[in-house]
Amino acid sequence: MSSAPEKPLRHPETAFRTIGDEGGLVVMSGRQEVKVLNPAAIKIFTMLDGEHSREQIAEAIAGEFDVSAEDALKDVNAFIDDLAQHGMLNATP
Amino acid sequence: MSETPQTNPYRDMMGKAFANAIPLNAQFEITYRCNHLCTFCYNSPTGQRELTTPQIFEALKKMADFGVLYLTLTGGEAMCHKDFWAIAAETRRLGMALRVYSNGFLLGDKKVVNRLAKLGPHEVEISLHGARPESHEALTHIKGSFDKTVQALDNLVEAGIKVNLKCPITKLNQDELIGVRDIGEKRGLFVTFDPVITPKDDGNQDPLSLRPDDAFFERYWGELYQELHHGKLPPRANHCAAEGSEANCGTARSGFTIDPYGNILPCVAFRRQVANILEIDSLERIWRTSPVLNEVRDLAVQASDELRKHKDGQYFQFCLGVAEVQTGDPLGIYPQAEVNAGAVRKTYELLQIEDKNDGRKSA
Ligand SMILES: C[S@@+](CC[C@H](N)C(=O)[O-])C[C@H]1O[C@@H](n2cnc3c(N)ncnc32)[C@H](O)[C@@H]1O
Ligand code: SF4
Repeated sequence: MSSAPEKPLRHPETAFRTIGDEGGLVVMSGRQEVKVLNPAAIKIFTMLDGEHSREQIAEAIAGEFDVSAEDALKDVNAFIDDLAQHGMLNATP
Repeated sequence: MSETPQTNPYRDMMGKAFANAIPLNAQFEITYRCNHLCTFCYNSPTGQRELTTPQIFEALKKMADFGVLYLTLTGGEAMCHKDFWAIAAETRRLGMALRVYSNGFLLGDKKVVNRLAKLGPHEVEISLHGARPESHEALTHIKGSFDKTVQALDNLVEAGIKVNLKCPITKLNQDELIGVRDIGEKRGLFVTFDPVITPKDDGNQDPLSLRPDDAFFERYWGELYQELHHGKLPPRANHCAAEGSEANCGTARSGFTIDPYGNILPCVAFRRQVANILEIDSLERIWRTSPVLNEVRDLAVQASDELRKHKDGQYFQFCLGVAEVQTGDPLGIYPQAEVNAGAVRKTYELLQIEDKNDGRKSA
């Protein structure tokens, strides 16, 4: 479990776009990094606004995708940790 | 859950966005003001009042709400806008990746570049018109502009900003393209050359007088292109078209342009007015319902069909906007495209002959 905050906020230098039902792209401006995200991941990313807790995000994922709340929370945590490692979360929301 | 680009998921995603006409890019010409006087510049100000800064902010908000990912500030010289910094900061605040197209003059100052670096721009594209002050300044008509622009390249690299260098090919620089490439490569930059000089946006054909002659382009596609690009073969399609797409290019599909008066256009070259951004509530709705945009999308597909019938069809780089201002018909084949396609075909034919003769590999 990372030290990423309970109501995570994406890094202000990220830009993202949902592309139809396919998922989406996240650009880390200033670093020329682009990530391709699947539909669940882009949904999580859009909710990293500093207002939703990990549990709320997991609930939304479980509601929209065919996954249990427990598994959704695991996925959300893993994804958020990965983003934090890549410097894509704001350290101080 | 994620993949880095250059692998297939990235290309697939871009392909899907292209196929479904989900625009990722917008070019925003925030002003026609400029500190250069390039003889060939396609800009054609009409004398109307340009958008005010609050109106520019409103337009940016609409583009961000629409989901634009890459927002390019251009012009004119975007950096000559009195509120350039506020506009660039607002672009970033709204979560869009910032690109700037610039002649580099103001970026010759390190303090300016450091200020830009703080905004975390995605990339900056700089135009260079020759490898020597004489040639560059014969086009820009601004003394000292070559040194400033080259200094800008150094400043940007030093500040860690990604830079692309671009050079439209003219009679003034046709003999020093290797020198231009070397200026870029010495600094680790990606360098592109534009083989098409376009008429002005108002239809004035004067810029075409700066286009090198056909013999040059035979040589360019036959030898020089590969020399400039370290053996890479010439392209056989528009760079803005997704692989395997039925559309000729990305006009009204991968992005759009907003001019300094707020007019929404299918792209920077195909300047049919769609609507004014101040007069619409949502870009999403206009993007899907505009008869102009739908017609342009259809025309881009028709262009591909028409080109396939041409003997050099598979070698064409074709711009509907240039076709319309040059021939009056967006599907009309204009001489520059035809000459280029013919020369590219010959290059490929020659390589196949060499293949047979000495077993060398071509494309
Ligand atoms: C209009 S400028 C705006 C950005 C900036 N002022 C600059 O010069 O880079 C955009 C690009 O178009 C190129 N350009 C201008 N007029 C042209 C023309 N008639 N044909 C081809 N390229 C042209 C410029 O050299 C520049 O690379
Ligand atoms: S610097 Fe760019 S906008 Fe200015 S005159 Fe030259 S091409 Fe046109």
